[in-house]
Amino acid sequence: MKRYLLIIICILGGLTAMAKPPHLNVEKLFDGSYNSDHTVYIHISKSKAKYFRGFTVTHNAALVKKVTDLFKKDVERAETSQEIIQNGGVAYTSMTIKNNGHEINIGLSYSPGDVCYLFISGPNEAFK
Amino acid sequence: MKDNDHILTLQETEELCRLYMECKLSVLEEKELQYILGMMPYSSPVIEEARESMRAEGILSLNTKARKKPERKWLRRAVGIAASVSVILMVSLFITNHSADSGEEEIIIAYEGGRRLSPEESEKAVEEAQRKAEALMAMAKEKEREEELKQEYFISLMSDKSYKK
Repeated sequence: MKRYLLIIICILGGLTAMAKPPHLNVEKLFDGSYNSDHTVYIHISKSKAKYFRGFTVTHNAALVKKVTDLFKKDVERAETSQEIIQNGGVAYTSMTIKNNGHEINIGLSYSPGDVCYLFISGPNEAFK
Repeated sequence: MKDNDHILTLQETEELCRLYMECKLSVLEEKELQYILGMMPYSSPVIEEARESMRAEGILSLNTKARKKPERKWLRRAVGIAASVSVILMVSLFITNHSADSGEEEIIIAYEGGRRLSPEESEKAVEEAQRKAEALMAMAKEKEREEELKQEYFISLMSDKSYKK
């Protein structure tokens, strides 16, 4: 009986411990502190299947820098990353982070005039 | 024999063992003797013979185990309670996590220029943002493929040149 109890504890403990949120740095942008910022567009969608977050900054150089810095922090733990350089500057950069066995895609595109667009996308399982 | 306060001497114990070997004890008396032999440190050929005989019947060992049981009972009970509490906690944690997930509804929220959009506006805006993200990912994949093709082309070009030389 004790053996079965131990097995059940181990299985349940393992399953509970296995799934953990990715704790992305870029997720800090969605903590609500930019909801009333006039230079920001926030788009959040979460369903059973998909998780999506978009963060657009318009004409705000300081915030563009902050977004870039947070993105760079996450690149350190990325499985893969890519940069597309156009006209001597980074036009688009992306990375893939694996969590709970699922891939999270994070992209950051830049446009002239201190504009940037960041998105986080992936199956919902990757964010639990 | 029935007097629990009376401590048996070696001689008395030997006498009882003899009676046991001659099958002259009642079932209750045999049981009491088994208990005494399990408790007493006495040792003599007759006593050992009786002990062996009881062991062969598997009575003495069982009796000894039964005697030890109350000593460990509290420990077993504590382990059992701890295990049960752990199982209940784990199961409730597991169910809480999973029920929270299964009860999850679709959430769509959008803020633009410091203003929260209505559900309809949010849906449209989020769809647009998702399309933009998908287009960027597709563009990145296309660029990656282009780069790979370029690399393959240059590698083949270089290998052709070296072959001609």
